[in-house]
Formats: sequence, structure tokens, C-alpha cells
Amino acid sequence: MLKKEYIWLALIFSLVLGIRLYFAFQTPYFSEDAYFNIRQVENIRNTGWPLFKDDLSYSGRNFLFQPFFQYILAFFNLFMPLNLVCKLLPNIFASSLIFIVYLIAREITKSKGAALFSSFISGFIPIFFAETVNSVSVFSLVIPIMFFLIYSLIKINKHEKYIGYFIVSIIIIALMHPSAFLLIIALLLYLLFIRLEHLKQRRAELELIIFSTILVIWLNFVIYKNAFLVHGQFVIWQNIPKELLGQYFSQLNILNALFYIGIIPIVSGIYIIYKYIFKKKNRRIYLLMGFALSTLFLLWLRLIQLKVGLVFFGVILVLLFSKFYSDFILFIDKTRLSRYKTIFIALIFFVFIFNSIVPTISYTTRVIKETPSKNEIDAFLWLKNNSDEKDVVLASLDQGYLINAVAERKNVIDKNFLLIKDAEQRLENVRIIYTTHYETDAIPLLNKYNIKYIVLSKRSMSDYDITDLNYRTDEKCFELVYDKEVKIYKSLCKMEER
Amino acid sequence: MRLTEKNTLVYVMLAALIIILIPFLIRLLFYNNIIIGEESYYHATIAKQIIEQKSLIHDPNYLFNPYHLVLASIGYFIEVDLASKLIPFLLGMLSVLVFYLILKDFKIEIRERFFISLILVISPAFIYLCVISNTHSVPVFLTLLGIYFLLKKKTIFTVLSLISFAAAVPFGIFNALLVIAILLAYLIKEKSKKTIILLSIIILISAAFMPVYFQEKTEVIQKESILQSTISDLGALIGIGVFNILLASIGFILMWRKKKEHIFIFLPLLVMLIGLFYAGYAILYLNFMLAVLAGHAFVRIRNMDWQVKMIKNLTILLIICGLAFSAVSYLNRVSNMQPDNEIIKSLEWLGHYSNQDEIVFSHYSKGFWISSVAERPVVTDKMLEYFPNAKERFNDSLEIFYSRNLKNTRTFLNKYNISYIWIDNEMKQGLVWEKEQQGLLFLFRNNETFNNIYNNQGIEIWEIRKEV
Repeated sequence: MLKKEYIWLALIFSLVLGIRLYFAFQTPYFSEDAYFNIRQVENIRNTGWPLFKDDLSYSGRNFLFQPFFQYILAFFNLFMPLNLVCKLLPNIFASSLIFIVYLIAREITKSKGAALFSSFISGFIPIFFAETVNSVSVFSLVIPIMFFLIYSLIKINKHEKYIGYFIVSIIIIALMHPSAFLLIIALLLYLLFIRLEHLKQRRAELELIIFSTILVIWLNFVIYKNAFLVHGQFVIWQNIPKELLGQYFSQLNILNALFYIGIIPIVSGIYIIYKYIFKKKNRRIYLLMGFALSTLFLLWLRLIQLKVGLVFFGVILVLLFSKFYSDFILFIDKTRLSRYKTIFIALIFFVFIFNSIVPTISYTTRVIKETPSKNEIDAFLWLKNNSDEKDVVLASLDQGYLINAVAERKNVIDKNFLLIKDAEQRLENVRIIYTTHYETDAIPLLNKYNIKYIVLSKRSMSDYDITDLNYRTDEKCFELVYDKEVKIYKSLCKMEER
Repeated sequence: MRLTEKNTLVYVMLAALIIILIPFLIRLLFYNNIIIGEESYYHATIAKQIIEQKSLIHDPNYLFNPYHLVLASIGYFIEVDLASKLIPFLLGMLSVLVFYLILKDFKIEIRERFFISLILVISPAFIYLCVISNTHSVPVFLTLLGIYFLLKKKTIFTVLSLISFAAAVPFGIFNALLVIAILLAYLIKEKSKKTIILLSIIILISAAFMPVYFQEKTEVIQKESILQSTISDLGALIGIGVFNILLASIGFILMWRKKKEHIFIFLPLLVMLIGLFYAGYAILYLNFMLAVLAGHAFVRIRNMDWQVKMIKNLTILLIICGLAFSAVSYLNRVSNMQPDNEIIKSLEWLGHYSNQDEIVFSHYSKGFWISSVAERPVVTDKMLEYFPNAKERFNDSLEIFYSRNLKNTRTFLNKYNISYIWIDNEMKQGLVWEKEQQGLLFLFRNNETFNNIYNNQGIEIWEIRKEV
């Protein structure tokens, strides 16, 4: 007979996964950023190797990234269609966070109820849910593994096998995403807390943390060496043009946090941090606090993107909530209010529904609506069938990956700026091409990048605040070759110097 | 592998030889044996002038450095270009030898000596010292020699120590302060009269060289951030690897517990760390200290009682990989550094095409190449900050680069009597211009003023047409 909590867990997992898949399958397409990973998976499937040297992005460039996640998807692509792999697997990975949160919460609180409640909340962290539901995001796997690693660290004194789990997890994370650095800072902060609170330093823990620090530093230097040489320490900001930097690395504010994470995790998390800094000692809470503080610290210094930071912060706060919940229930049990315990639990639950589930659903709905439409995909497919392989296509920044993945054509610009020396100039030139009134300004730039087609979608019109290309009236130079919701112009002229 | 006194030194020297030879071999095979770097050409030019004139340079803007005398002396017998390669190579090898002997005199255990020396030999800063003609290979060697002789008890060695230190002092204020710090540390440790005499003489010699140390300098060239200028993995040419820093930090913490015993390390280390903020080349000296600290840390980590053996082995493997990676990465970088064949070819072409006194304009970092290979005077080079009108020259060069006003640019071109402009890909891809048709690149379209006489592999030479 299966234990009751496992049944509940299975139900929560099914519910979360079910809702995720419901949203994911509302559209046959993916968010724009997903197409980078989709291309990588396709390439791994076909050649066995990631696409590090790409002829299409920026009309020819090198990529730098850790491809472990793409390899996993490519493996499943051997048995399943790519679309299904990209819809299903990231959501399964993301939903598995429920189990890990349960395990950690159970260790921290020794309470099944608190652990179950936290695992349920972890399924509905708005930012994590929305950003991983349809974007083939590496965070769908990084987050669960990161927290599994924390769980392994908590358990290493119980059984040696967790040492092996920890080592494997840290190697996987280091091969998946540079956010492994966040983990290292968190672990080092944890060591600091242990020292400051005069708790006994466990030898195996210390050894694992030393090893992890060295591993992550080394792997990231090896992978991003060229980027460090080209951009120096600015590689942290991924060579994102100054114009866009504010968008990606915006300052954390409380309103953002409340919306993206939920009020219950934030309030409870802050209370627990306060309690265990000033009143009580608990090494497991310090481990989580190390994580929370390292994320806050990096967000404050704008060293990690806001969305990335909020995802990590959100999960940590959910775990801290489990401690808050179990302490709260214990407290209620000791008071006269114990007969109203169920009411309190129900109240927390309803507040959670309104402050986490509802924002999750509304945010995710918005994200799904922003997925490329059929009209846009059709336009890119038209390009694929009606243009030459060597043609360069101009679209807005967000659609760069679509040009490569769907149209299978070269683009002028996309969101991966690492190792691109003229990123600022390109961004500026693309803006000029879309907004200038004069073809004498546009044509030299079109010639410079050998642009054959210009895509004008709703997205580019809204990005550049235009209704059409101002110089389109010169039909000798600009032929409207596709005219539906999306317009595609063909550039015919060349500017010659006398 | 069992380490003995005999074979340890052999292994260390062999490792040093292999590491140092790699860039030379690559340059020989793929770059026509072209000298690496920018300042190498400056030193070679000065040395050639000294040989030609058979005296020191009398130019008031010349910044005296004893290295030029050394280079000229040896270049007199073998070619200056060959001397530019041989001197750093030989002195580097000798520095390793002396460094090893110093470690032996400090009674450092053989295994630790081995690791310290190995870490030194594969460090980016050491590779720079031995591969690129620079003004520091001589004083580094002399300082090490001075320390080696200082540790011996006999009077003859004390005299030799004095000579070595005294010879190192004229190379710069930092060298003088470092030698003083070393003697001071030794004095605190040993409290001998000989050391007091030594210290006093060195202070006097340093005082005598004060006018040489302090030449007027106008800060015009923007300095890189401290990270980018000290960490080789982040692009520093004279830099330390990340893993070297990591290990050295651990070693520092371990040794700090016995700081009184290790005063001989910590006092000079303090001077070097302070010197780092004023002179980037302090890293070349600091590197030896860091190797000691890193080696000590490595041995301690290796000998530590680890609870989990698997983690121990993985950690040690990682450290070795990390150190090796910095070395391999730096070797690759330095071996393929500019100038390349195309740059030299263009400058040789310019030397043939132009007349002797015709002035060439380019970015200051290219100045030494133009002066040395094309043998033509330049408007700016890396010694710009020691020119009397440095700020004006620098600002004027910026005007020439960035102005889109032809009349304005013409004025500056005439002011410096510029006949040619030399530009390469690096200048067009961020060093000077970030956008096309920016500044001077835009003005080049005016063929009444500019005539493109050379255009190959991204290198362009423009002749300025004289106004009629």
C-alpha cells in the first residue's frame, strides 16, 4: 500500500504537469528564445555535435555555451519527434522540482504536511512556471538538479551515496549553465554562516564545497575563455548592448518580486531569514539562506539577469516557507487557537491561490500569447521555400532565432551577443533600417549585411513604432514579395560609390 | 616518480625549456620568426641606435633603461633581433635555476620545491618574462641572484649579493624598493651587521638614481581595470592565472598562521602588492612569491587527510588541469600575438615606398612597429606619456581619428606633417573605431586628400596628398 504522501505527491505532480502541458500545447509553436535550443538539438541529433560554429546566426559566428541540456533532449529525440520532446520534457523536468522540494522540506521540517504544501507551492511559482512552460529553457532542468544537489549536501552525513549524487549533479550543472556560479557563492556563504555561528564544520561538506568551487571556476573559464579574452569581465553581462542592458539586468524591486514569486513565499521567507539570523541556529536553513543571499547579492549588483535571479529566489523562498509553515503550525498547536488550525491552513491556502496560482496562470497566458503566431511562422516558412540558402534575412532582434530555425536562413542579429564585436553597431543599424525615412540610409546598410529580405511583423512594427517601411514606395528597390499579416520585402538595389 | 636532488632540478629545467621553447618554435614555423609584441620592437630600435651611435641616446624624451645597454652590448656581437630572443630565454632559464637553489637554501622539502618550481614555470607571467623581450628579465634575475648570495654566510657572497642588488636597482623605483624590502626582511630575520651595511649602500644607490626613476609623465592613455590588467585569463598580457591566484590565496592563509617565521615572504609580498597598483610589471616579481604560496598550498592539499578519497583525487586533478589550462591558453595567445606576417610585410613595403623622414600616423600601440620595421618616425607610440606635449598629441590624434570635418583633420595632419596613415583590422574592429564610416574612415572617401596606396588583408596605408 503506497504511503499517503506519495499519492498526494503524485497528484500534485500530475496536476502541475497537466496544467503545464495544457498551456504548452495551446500553441504548436515555441517562444522565440526556444528556437536556439531547438536548432542545437537538431544539430546534435544529425551530427552528434552542438552547433558551435554557425553560418546562419549573424551570418556566421561562433557560439559559446554548455550543451548538456541540449544533449539530453537530443537523446530523447532519437525515440520521439522533436516537437514532442521540446514540449514534454522541459515540463516534466520542471515539474520534478515538486519531488525535490518535498524531499528538502521534509528534511528541514520533519513534517509531511509542510513538505507537501511547499511542494504544491513550488509547482506554481509564477516566473518559473511561465518561463519554462514553452521555451525549451535550460532552467527547467538546472533548477531541479540544483536543488537536488542541495538535498544531497544535506544528506551526505546519512549515506555515502549522496556524495556521489552531489558530485554527479555539480558536474552536470557546470556542463549546463553558468548559473553554477550562483551555487558556489551560496555554498561559500553557507560555510561563512557555519563559521560565524560556531557550528561544527563537517569535513565531507567542506571537501565537496572546495571541489565544487574549483570545478565550476575551471569549467567556466575553459568554456568561456575566448569570451573572457574578447570582453574581459564584461562577459558576465554577455556583451549585451548598453541599450538593452537595463532590460535584462533590471534592478530588483518588491513589486516585481511579489508578482513573480508570490506573497506567501516572500513574507514567510523573510521572516525565517530574520529568525535564524537573530534567534535560532539551524545549519540547513543556513544552507538555504546562503542561496537566498547570494541570489539577492548578485541581483543587487546586477550580475545576473532579473528573471534568472527571481527563479532561484522563488524556489528558495518556497523552501523557507516550509519551515515557516511547520513552525507556525507548531506554534498554533500550543495556543488556544489550535481549534482554528484548519481555518488558518485554509486561509494560507486561499491566499496562496490568489497570490501564486492566479498570477501563474495570468503570466503564463500572457507568455503563451506572445508565442509566434501561425502567420509569423508561415511567413518564415515561405522564406524557407522561396529564397536562396545564402540569402540574409532581416527581422527584429527577438525573431533572430526564428530566421535561423524556421526559415533556415542567415540573420543579421539575434539575442546571443557573446563574441559579437559589433553588437552595438548592428543593433543601431537594424534600428536605422526599420525607422529611417530615406532609402539612401537604408540601402548601404542593407548592402553591408547583404540583406535580401526584410521581415515586417507585428513584433517589429511594435518594437520600432512603425506601420511600414518608410521608403517602401520605391518599388524598383523594394519589392513586396509576401503580404499577409506579416510583410516581407525583397531588397533589390545596391549603392555604388563614385 | 621518486624525486631526488639530482633529478628534481633536471625535471624542472627540462619543463622550463619545453614551455619556453614552444612559442619560439611556433613563431619560427608559422610567423617567419617575427619578434612577438610591441615593446620588443622599441627596445630593439633603441639598442640599434646605441650600437650605431656608440653612445647612449641623447634624446631628452628618451626614458633610460639599463636593459637597452644590455641588449645593445649583446646585440653588438649577434644581431639585435636574435639578442631580443636570446636574452629573455637565457635569463629565464637561469632565473628558474637560481630560484630553485633559493628554495633549497630555505630548506623547503624536495617535493614542495618541485611543485613550486613547476607552478612557476607554467605560469603566464613567467612565460612572458622568458619569451618577450622586456626590461624586467635582467632585474628579476639579478634580484634572485642577490637573494641567493645573501643567504650564503661567506663575505665573498655578501659582496656578490651587493653587486647583484646594486645592478638591479637602476632598473626602476619598484626594483629599488623591492630590494630594500628584501634586505629589511632579512635584517629582521637574521639581525646581522653585514645586512645593515648592505641595506645602507642600496639605499644610497637608490637615492642616486632618483632623477632617473622620476621622469615627467602625463597620464593620457586609459588604463584597463585591475582585473583585466592582472589576470591572464581575462586578457592581461602580464598576468596571473586564475588558479594560481586561487592556490596562492590558500597558501597565504596557511602560511599567515606562522607569519613571523615567513617574514622573508610577507614583507616583499606587501611591497609587490602595493607596487601592483602603480606598476603592472610588479606581477613578474609577484609571480615568484605566488608560486611559493601556490606550491605550498598544493602540497598541503595533497597531504591533507581527506574524508572522501574520491574528492581528493578529483580536486587535485582539477587543480592540475586548471593550472595547465592557463598555461596552454597563454602559450597559444602569446605564440599567435601580433605582429603577424601581413603587418610586417605592409611595414616593410611602407619602408621601401616612403622617404626616410616622412611621418606616419597610426594608433599609439602600433608606433613601435612602424618605427622599427618601416623605420619611419611616428606621431604617437606607447612612450607618448613621456613626451613633453603628450596630452596635446594624444588629443590631436583623437581628433584625427574621430573628426568628420575634412578641414579640421587636414589642419592636424599638417600640424604634424603627416605623410601616411597606417591602419589595420584591430583598429577598425574596436581599438579605434567601432562603426564603419566613423571619423577618419568616412573622410577617406575624399580622394583629393587621401590616396589608398596599400590594401591587403585588412591593412590599409593611405598617403596624404599635399595641398597645392
